[in-house]
Amino acid sequence: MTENRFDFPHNIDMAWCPGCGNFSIRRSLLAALDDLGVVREKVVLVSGIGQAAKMPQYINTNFFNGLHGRALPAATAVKASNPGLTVIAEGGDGDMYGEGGNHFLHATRRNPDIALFVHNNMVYGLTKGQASPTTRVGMVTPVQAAGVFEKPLNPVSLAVSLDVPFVARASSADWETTKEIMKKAILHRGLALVDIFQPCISFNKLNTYQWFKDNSYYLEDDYDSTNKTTAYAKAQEEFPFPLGVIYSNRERVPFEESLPVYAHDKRPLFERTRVPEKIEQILKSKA
Amino acid sequence: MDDLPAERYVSRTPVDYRRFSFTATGVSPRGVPGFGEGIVCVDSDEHDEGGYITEDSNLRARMVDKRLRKAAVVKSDALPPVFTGADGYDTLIVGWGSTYPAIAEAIESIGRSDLAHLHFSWVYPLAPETASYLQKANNIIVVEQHATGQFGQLLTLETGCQIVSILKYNGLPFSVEELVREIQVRCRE
Repeated sequence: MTENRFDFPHNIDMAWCPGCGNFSIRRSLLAALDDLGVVREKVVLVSGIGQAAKMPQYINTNFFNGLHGRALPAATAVKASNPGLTVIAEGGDGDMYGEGGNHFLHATRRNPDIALFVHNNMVYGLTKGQASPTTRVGMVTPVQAAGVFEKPLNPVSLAVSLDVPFVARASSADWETTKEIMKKAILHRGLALVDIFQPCISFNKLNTYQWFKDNSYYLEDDYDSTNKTTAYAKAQEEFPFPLGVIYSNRERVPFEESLPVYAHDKRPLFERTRVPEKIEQILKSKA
Repeated sequence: MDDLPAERYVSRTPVDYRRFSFTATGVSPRGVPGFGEGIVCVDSDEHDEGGYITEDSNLRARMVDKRLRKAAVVKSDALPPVFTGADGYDTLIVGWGSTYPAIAEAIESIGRSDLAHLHFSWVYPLAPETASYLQKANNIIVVEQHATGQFGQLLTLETGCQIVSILKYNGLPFSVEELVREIQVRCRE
């Protein structure tokens, strides 16, 4: 394998369990970034808390690793303050759909040009196995000792229903296809969700490599992702779950492109200086 | 506003940029992604100079020391309180935030020359000149929209000066009339 620009030149100490699906997702992400030829200094990874949210620590580029569930608001701000950056928000199902659920909903409305990669292992792995918003009904955990009874969220159908302009499901069992889907997500203009099936080998004994294999399939080559009605029907299918690009919409305008601050000046905010005369003009115009 | 220089705090990152590099003041040069040859890595967990998570206990202590050095710089930059009154005051009325106009009007209507007013728009860390204002008074009355008088407690903790409080916490702001009454009661004590 040739050297990847986004990998470290030295060994790094990673906190994931041997056999974790995160290693495969990291491989996909490293390869996707390198393939796209994006400038390393102009990529920002943003995450919250969790094992998946540690990803930015293990990629050699800019990152902001902040609070649990709060990847999307920080990522939106990064993109809005410098639209020339490639921004990726990444985390797990608990972080993005649980603690970050409200931010996820509003990010779908704002539609910043961000790729959103969610490692969906259907459990809170960092904290040793509590039920997450995508845990299947019936799964017994140390907290849900009588089994989970809440209906699990289907993030893909939720995202299609909210007209997220790019919605895909991928699998950590297939790093190469996941890489290709990630590349499409990064290139798509607007919010691009990739929900990535991933086993948690330590704390989820139900949704194993075999379970994901038995319960998913790739969409046919002639599947049309641009029709919202059929995409929504496809997104709602479960057992088996479809993998691939389920919905794409090229019409929605990204958040940062609608901001008045860039209407007459394309420069990112850090390049600008305070202009007292302009402030005085504004104050006088409101007097 | 015209005489305020536009200061720039964002610097171009060199290739070996580290967001949390150790410095004498604890303040590290601030870079932003996309400006320079370096990368900017920021983490909410304890980290090394480069922003990468660490569980090294020696490094942890050095990072805490770095932040405390920075806190000292913040203190030296704190806005001083605004003093209104004559030198040689006996009683100092202390307030912070939105109580300013009510306290100012109450003091004016009481009309005693030995009453002075000290107002804080910056409450923590306290500006270094705080103690000398308090030490000149024989009687310090702290007016607060607060149930336990937390700012008064902070003043005692930081300066050693004993204070008495006028507190209001029923959801309404202070009126001038009640401040006149409450200040006069405490001045007689």
